[in-house]
Amino acid sequence: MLADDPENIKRDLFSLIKSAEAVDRYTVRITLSEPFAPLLDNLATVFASIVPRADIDYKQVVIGTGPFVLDSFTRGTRYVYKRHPSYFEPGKPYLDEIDLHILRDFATRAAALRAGRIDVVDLLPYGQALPIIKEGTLVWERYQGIFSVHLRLNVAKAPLDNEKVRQALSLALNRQAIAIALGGGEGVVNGPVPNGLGRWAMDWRKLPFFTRDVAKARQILREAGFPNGFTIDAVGGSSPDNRRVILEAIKAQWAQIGVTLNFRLVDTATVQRVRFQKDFVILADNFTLSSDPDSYLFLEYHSKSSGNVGSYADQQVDRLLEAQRREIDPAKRQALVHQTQALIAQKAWIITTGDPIYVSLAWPYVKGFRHNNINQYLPLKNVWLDK
Amino acid sequence: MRPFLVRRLILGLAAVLGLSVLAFGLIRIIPGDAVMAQLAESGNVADLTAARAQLGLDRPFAVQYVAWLGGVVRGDLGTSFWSKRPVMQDLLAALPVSVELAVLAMVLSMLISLPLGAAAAARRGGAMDVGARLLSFSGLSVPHFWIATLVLLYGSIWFRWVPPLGYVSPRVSFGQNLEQFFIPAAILGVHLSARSLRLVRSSLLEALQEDYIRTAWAKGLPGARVLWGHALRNALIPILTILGSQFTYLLSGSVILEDIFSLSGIGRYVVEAITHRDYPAVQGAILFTGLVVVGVNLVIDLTYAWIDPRIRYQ
Repeated sequence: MLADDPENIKRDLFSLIKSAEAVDRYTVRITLSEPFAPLLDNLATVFASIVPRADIDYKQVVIGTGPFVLDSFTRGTRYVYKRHPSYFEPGKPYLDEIDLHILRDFATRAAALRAGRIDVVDLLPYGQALPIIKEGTLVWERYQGIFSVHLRLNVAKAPLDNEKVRQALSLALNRQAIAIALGGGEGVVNGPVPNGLGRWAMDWRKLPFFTRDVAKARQILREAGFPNGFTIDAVGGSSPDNRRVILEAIKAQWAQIGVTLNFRLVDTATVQRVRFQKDFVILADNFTLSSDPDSYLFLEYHSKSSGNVGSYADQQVDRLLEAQRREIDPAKRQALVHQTQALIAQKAWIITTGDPIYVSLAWPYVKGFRHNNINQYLPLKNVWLDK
Repeated sequence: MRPFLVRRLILGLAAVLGLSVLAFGLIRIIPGDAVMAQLAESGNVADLTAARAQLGLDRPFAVQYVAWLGGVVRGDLGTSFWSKRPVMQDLLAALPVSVELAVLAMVLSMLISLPLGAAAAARRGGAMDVGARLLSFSGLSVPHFWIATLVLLYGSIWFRWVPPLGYVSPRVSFGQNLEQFFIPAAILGVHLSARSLRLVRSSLLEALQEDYIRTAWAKGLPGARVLWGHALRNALIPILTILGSQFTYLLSGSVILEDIFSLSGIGRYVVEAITHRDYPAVQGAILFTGLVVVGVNLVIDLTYAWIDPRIRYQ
């Protein structure tokens, strides 16, 4: 995980680890080259999974220390997990089996839940889930997600190498309208750090160039030498469908300042190729490795980060990004994280939009279920069924 | 008959061979490759070059193709990049789902379209004819996935019922299997019957104008016998042709319904495989479907001779 390979996108999660040694059977001592605030969060990611040292092909074998063991699967449809008989927490998990169905269509998910074919549904946009919530038969919980879609502007390509152009594009957007459209009635505007990360996020109204001002955007565009606007291309993933919603809304809003956006939606493998080869002008994508703000900031914006795909480089930003990583005091770090976000918004490198308000829904007999903001991990080890 | 069969088999194999080249080439032309797709999922492929070499993607196109084709000839469609299982095993798991859905939908479609189409043709311009045409027009106009969504939505609201999720083999539970397939098959069946109904009606109308039908009437045969025994049998050839194309379409083309009803058939398998750039899976599934298309068409051609004794193959 520490391999210094440009294609190793996870290396910046652990780059300040100087050495690691096994003290005894259950203890690892990690030595850092300097204080590193995001370490614990980053160690909790899948990229720091503890696996046997033996020469095992992990593409063939599923090995882990979790509460459930993968029993069988049908690609893209269904995954069946059985209880891990020797899970390290005594007595857990409570469930014997998890039958995980992949239901892409919201209506199908809602219908299956309503009919009792499934017990729990997570990560539904609140606005769309409202009809089923109003029926009053299910237990539900509202929360904010962390999977905000960003528009990465490639500053190596004209006209996005011009800061004024980027600022005009940012200023022309009604982010609140986009967030509401995404959430089917309710949504939140995200800054560089999404609201799902709580105190690390900033009120978007305080971020420069985030509050819509079409007249000013037109004026800045004139000052930048584009009085008649220009045409620009974007590429985004075709799934999930929120990219389409976002890009269509942005296209309409940018048209008001004379900017014509042409976008195409492609599949995930193509997005990865585009990202790695930096073969884009605008890339609509999300990229999350950890629940620490560092993964949204350092990995995206530091000039030497492997995740910096838009060729962003600024010494002041770099210094702030390094400082927030080193700062152990939460309050001081929060101030640094906010300061960094304001500066990034000023640069308008990445256009952040919004997220729906999400809900998890469950039947009342499902006990112990709490959503997790990081939706790769369904926290099911504490769940039991009272029926 | 034998020369015809041999010629058709040779032509069929040539078509499948051409299809194999297309399937092999086209999936590689699409931007992004299998390693990038894996990277997208795990964020954890340290060395892309090594990963490509491990999958054999660093070899020349022709070498990869010949190696794959060699496996196909031996009955080995390769191993899925994603599931790490033999592609044949994955396909055989998906096949019963698609076949059952296709067969049930076609049976239902015929049960609707044959009597309605025949009645519409027999009473041309009458209430039955107008009703049948209206039904057909509606069936063609309304997308079946929309009907499926409505059925699920209102089924869950009014009856607190939706079909079970995930495939249950009829050998495990016939009742649960039927519960699972009946709704999607009925939706597909009604949708297909819209097209078949028009064809049955027009074919029968044409047959009913023929001299032999006039002779049958003149002989004093009962109406039902004229219609079912003489006219329908002669009208069956175009109907059979469309049945064959419907079956091959349904085998891999009902992907939206498979998705809505959480059925893991061949259509969904192919879509997932394309998304993951799972080359062996895509190639195997396309080749497999191609073989089915060739086989079904051959069977239909042979059936023509059985339906119409005037047809002789040489």
